[in-house]
Amino acid sequence: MTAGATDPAATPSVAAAAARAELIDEVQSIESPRSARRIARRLLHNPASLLGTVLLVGFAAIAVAAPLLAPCPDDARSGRRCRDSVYLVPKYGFSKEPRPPSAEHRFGTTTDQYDIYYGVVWGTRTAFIVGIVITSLALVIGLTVGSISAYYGGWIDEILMRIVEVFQAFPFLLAAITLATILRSLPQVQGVLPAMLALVAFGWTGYARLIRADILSVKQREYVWAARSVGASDFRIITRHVLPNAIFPVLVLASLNIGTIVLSFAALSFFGLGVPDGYADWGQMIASARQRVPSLVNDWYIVVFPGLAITLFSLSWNLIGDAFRDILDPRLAR
Amino acid sequence: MRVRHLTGLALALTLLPGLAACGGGSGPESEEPAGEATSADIVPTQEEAAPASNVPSDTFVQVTIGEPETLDPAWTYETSGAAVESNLYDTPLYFNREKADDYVPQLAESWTLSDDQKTITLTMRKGVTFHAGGTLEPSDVAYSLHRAMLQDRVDGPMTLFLNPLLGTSTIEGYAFAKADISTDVPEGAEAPTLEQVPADVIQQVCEDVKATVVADNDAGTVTITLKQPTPWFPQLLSQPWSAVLDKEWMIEQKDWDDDCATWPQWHNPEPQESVLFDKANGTGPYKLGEWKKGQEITLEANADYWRTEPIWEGGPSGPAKLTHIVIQKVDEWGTRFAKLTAGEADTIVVPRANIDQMASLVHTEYDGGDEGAPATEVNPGGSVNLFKGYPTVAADAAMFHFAINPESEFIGSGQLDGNGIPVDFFTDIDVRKGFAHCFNWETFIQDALKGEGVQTRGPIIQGLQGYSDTSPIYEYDPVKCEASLAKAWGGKLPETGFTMTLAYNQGNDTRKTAAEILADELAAINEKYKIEVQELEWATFLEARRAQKFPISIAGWLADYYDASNWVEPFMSSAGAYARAQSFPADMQAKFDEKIAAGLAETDPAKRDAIYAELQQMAIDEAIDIFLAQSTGRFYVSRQTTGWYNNPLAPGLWYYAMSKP
Amino acid sequence: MTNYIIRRLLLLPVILFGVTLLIFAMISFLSAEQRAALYVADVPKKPGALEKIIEQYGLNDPVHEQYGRWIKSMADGNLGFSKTGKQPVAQVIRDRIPATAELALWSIVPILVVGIQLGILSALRHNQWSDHVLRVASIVGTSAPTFMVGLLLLMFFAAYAGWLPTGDRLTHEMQRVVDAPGWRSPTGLLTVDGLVNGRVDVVWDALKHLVLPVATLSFVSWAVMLRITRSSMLEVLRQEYVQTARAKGLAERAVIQKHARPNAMLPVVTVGGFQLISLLNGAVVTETVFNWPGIGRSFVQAASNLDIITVLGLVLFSSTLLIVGNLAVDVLYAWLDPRVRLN
Repeated sequence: MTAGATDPAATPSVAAAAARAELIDEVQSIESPRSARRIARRLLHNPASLLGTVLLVGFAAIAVAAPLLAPCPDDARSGRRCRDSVYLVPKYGFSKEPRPPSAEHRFGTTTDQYDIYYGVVWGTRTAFIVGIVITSLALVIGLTVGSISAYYGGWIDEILMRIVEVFQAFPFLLAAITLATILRSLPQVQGVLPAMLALVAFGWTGYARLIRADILSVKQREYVWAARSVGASDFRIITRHVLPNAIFPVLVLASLNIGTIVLSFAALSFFGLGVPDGYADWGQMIASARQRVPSLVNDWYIVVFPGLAITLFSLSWNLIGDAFRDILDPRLAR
Repeated sequence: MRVRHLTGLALALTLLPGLAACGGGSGPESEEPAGEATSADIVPTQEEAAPASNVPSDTFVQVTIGEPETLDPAWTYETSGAAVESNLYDTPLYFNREKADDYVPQLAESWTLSDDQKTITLTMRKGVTFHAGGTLEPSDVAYSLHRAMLQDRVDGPMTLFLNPLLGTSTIEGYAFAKADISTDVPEGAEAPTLEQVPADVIQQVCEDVKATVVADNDAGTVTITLKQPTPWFPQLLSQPWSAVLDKEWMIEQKDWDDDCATWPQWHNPEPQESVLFDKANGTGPYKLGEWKKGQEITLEANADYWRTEPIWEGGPSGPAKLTHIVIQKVDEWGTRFAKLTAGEADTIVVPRANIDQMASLVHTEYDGGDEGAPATEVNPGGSVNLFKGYPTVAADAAMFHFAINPESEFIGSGQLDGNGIPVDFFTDIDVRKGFAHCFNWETFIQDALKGEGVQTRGPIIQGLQGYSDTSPIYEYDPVKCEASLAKAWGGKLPETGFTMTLAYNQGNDTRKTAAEILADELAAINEKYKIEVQELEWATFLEARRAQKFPISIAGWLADYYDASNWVEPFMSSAGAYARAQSFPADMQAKFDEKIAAGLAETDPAKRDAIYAELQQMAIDEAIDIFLAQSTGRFYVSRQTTGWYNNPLAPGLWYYAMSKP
Repeated sequence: MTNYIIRRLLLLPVILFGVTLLIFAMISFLSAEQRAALYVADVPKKPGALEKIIEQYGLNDPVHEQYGRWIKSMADGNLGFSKTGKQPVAQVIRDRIPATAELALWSIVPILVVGIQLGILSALRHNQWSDHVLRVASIVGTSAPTFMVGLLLLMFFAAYAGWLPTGDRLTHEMQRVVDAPGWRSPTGLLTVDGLVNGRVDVVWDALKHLVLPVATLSFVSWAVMLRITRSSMLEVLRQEYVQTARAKGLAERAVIQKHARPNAMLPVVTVGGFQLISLLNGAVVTETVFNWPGIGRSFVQAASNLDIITVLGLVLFSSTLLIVGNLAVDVLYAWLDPRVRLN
């Protein structure tokens, strides 16, 4: 690991920061999809990553089966919201006291009478969407900036890298809070979009630096020189020769990052900047428990169900990531 | 209307959105006015069971959520600041304990109202000293009021004085009118400024202001001349806006030098530009200790307080009994609650959503606004007493907009095609009546207000002129609602349906709940009656509201003074804060305005009563708003504390009346 | 290396300038009316009031003009007045730093003691059950949202058991001691100032208030440190010199203390440094949960009210801290490991 190669403080989460710094060199040693297949096989033989995979598959199943697991109620009043959008959690009344789990509300209701079970089930979809969309968008931006910077070098590289540094100099959570607040004030950007865009806007820089470093090393390889000597265009060289060879480690890193992205999104929800009120989102449900701190021992279900969901979701990605690291470093193999 | 820092609206500004899921639109929460003890004869019996408060008996700790914008009484138009100021400064008159329309002299020794009700003469007390050592003179009173009126910051409280004294709502407007400068500028053009006003007019404006309040130091009097009889003016002289400052000290501190040529320099300052932003030199029972920004304000008792006779029979006198006051700002409910349970606080702000969590702490429950109210001992182990059920001067309404901005994103297609509403949707009275019948007050009051409110019967609240508890109102009635909507828009509404969006600003629970109740009930009548409820950031909410984009806006009003005129104005007058944006049809508006003017001109109490009753009736007949509810108050305080009472106009606690014997 | 440091330091103002440009670019999305929301507590009552406020604060001027005004006042050494903090921005920073610093500095203790010690333990017991438990615990640790951890701690230790306070830096009586004239405050850190003034009770009270916020803030970091230490230690233990030392018959204890541990600390120092810098992110959440009067809470309040002047000031401050901190870690790393060449 070389100091300064990555900047953990600018990565989406404190948790991922150091872990990723450590991962990067290791991942860079993977070079082809073929070794990826080998890795996948070994992941399934490791109990920790197997657990992670099982959890992840379970969450995916819940997300897919959400309409069956938690259908929108028929009742005109409580079903009003989810008839408009399935992500709007049905609300059962206007009392401010949460209701404990019962036959009618399996996980109870929040302080605003939102059904926790419905929210946890549909929140799974939100988590996947949020994690995958944010990560892909950040990747696309990061890849574009990183490859342009690395391929052209010179003053383009210089400027782009200074821009990257500017984004990274803005402490991540502070930046996301600021931008999310501003975006939420725009009528054109509503719902989950402001928080997602905010996380994308400050989440791409790590990928840009990584792909840049990768390309710089790939660029020196023979096949790139060969392509250049036969007069292939810049675009063609980047897309056909450089990227495919440099992209794999970045993709792996990005996918392992989904768990922490979901945590960052939850942090924005905690500040009331994540999703609209009553949207199926784990973070928001947990945050709503803050008003109940003194009696949280009685109202445990507000924190425990969505809290368990988000922790397990993030855990599943981290377990896979952890095992992945072990596999990549044969010296640590058991 | 003052801004109550406990309201959801203010929360959007003072707190993190979303962290502040407390409170209702304008529903007062626990923090309520203060005063003095009658005999505290309901003595708790099981002393030993109560958890001990760790707060020493000479200290009072109040944990709240708002923070003053400034401590300049002329600038302040919100309750957090006014509450502090009411303890630092004395005013010429003061409320007679819990009564909002009866007064006792305070810095005045006595006062008289002339027969034509247009002249108030105050005879000032002698030998009163300011905290910094100056001596009170009648000229200090005049200076304070002159300064306040000339300072007249944008959208501030001074309009309440300028109207009765000069017949203008802003001092700038008065100057422009005198200088013949048009304020009616086209969109995009520069609005006129005071710099364009010639020096002689500037001088004249100030002299006009000075003529309304004249001090005679030799005679020891201050004479206030009103343009027309203003029955509530003594209320204004009892509120912190009339706080008496030390003229010499103010000039020393580089505030306005009392010169009529220079006042524009001190006009409309930013809050922190005022000398009094975080300094105070009053004559009040407390001196300002320190304002640690964002954390706490401390007050220390004024050991040389001038009062030697009880303010009223059995009232407080001499230096304050509670010598240290700590007002902490804690946004987090859990922290506030823990402070109370740990005995680190004497009173905390309790959002309605958390009332149930307080239940086990309550020792004695008083059904009213002081210790004389009927009391029930609830839990001998409790550490706090609860006062509840006393009326407040705050109420909410959902207002129909008769001409919505066509660019509104809240009216769907803008057509009567089921996917939106036309901009004039609410001009049809059957729509308005239908909506009114579809509002479920019981759910609203029981669930959203926790039973702490009564349905309002029009703009005018309980206890004021024109109010009658037998006047006609709309009642929740799905059948009438359905029938009324079936008649609307030529009978095609049930067929086509409609879609609109009701917005509320984040954190404002009352707005949110009212909108959702309406949405639920309409959906239950016809699936095609669709109301979406949307949460907006405060900035977006404010902008959309200003652009008149909302089909219905829900807002609360907190009285400035205790009189029906302060309620018909915002809800019905063409100049009213709310009605102005509703765009009533011209004939309807003219009818309202005429009646409102008649009410202001009338001095005979019985006739005023009749006029306001008519206005109340008109508002119901025309169904201009869904009048929601007037909140009742609730206040928790440590058992050790006595002397608290509720005065509906007091902005916060008046520690002078309280003690911990 | 000197060149590297000089280059980074020269770039610092450029980067900071970029950050302020970025913030102004972000607020240019907003209309003047929206930005005026900071200055009005309620719907304006008088016609034209909102326009007056927009004019008064120049909110309708082009963004570059507003930026120019701000830069100009910066050049005069004036960070502006914080509307949400109700005092000058510089004063907000001065007032709030000690609280955040105390929180962050104390958080180093669990990160180092718990994280590193457990990491070493885990490595030494490689593949034993205690290793597995610690590994899983550390992974779970990094998977839980910080605010949830804070809420749960608050729920159990403060609200339910009542052992610890729920927020603030001191109880009221102690606060009064600290506020009294004559209290010497060389550092602003209450635990240190308490000792300076010879008031053990203040120190004790401050420590009690620190326990839960520190536990929350360091919760993620100690787990990261555990993992890093563990893998670094495992690697070192396999190195030849350690094997050699063992072969020479040195006691296992001595091998670990003399040879393995110092070498394993290299990556730990770097990651630890980054962790410290990034505590700022965690502080935003922790300070909000525990009502901690630090920089993070001021920032959240400013940002959520669109108080851009305050946001600018606080970001300038924290960005400087972040850049200089990163540089310091780079330098430290290069100094510890001469093989690394900074370029």
